[in-house]
Amino acid sequence: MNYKKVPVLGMLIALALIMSYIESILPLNLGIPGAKIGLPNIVIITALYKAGEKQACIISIVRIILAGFLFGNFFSIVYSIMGASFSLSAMILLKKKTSFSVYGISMAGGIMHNVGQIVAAMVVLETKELIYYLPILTIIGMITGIFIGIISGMLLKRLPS
Amino acid sequence: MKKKEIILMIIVFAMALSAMAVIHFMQSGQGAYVVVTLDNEEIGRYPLEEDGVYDLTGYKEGHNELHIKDEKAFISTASCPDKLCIKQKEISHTGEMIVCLPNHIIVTIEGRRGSALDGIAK
Repeated sequence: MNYKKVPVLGMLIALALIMSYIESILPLNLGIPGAKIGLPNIVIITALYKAGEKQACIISIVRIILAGFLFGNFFSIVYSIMGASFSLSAMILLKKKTSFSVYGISMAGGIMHNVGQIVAAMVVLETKELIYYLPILTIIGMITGIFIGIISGMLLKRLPS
Repeated sequence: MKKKEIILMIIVFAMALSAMAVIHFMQSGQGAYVVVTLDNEEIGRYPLEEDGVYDLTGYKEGHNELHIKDEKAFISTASCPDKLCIKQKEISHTGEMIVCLPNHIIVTIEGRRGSALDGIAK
């Protein structure tokens, strides 16, 4: 890894961690367990466009482990890792193979994050009925994904490459 | 945003909405029992007709207080930090559930004869 990339990566991880913190203190309740806005995804998407796929993955994994130890527990790390791997795979694939805009990619990321978390919860709790939450969480993922996409789009326009 | 993105978005949205409608339809019958499971093992079964307060012990000694009142079940206290189970709406229809992820506790409503799902599967 290039020596110039290390401080940028460190800064982006710190930024993603701050986003996790803000999200953990926001008194926002979407009524469904596991539903969040996904503020750290602003940093992940920005990194995906400006720094590359590998960097986005590193930021995501380090962010999840640190945030898990700081604001969560072992299981919140399991849920987040599953969500992030689904979401990152979808976003990287769509960015490479299609001409989707940042809004579409962010939306797919939001939906797939929720799908990954449901799968994790179904495995941890051994309860397949949790799949009933999939439709509502898909819609929530769409809405939060658009929101995050709009912010990321504004950010990407203003940032130098 | 591109045209095909918007089309795809509308399709996914429509599919999710219709799935929600189907699930809502499946969960329409009035339930009879409140069933509590911990890691998919039944740890309690209470009739929905009887008002009561039950203390549930979950994963790592986590606690939830289950209330049954006016044929509706809800969670009033939780040892976890996020309290999401308290914020979930009260349940009374077959198939509806309250999930407490940190304590691994799931509270579901069961009908008089099996669940509505089994009825459809038959």
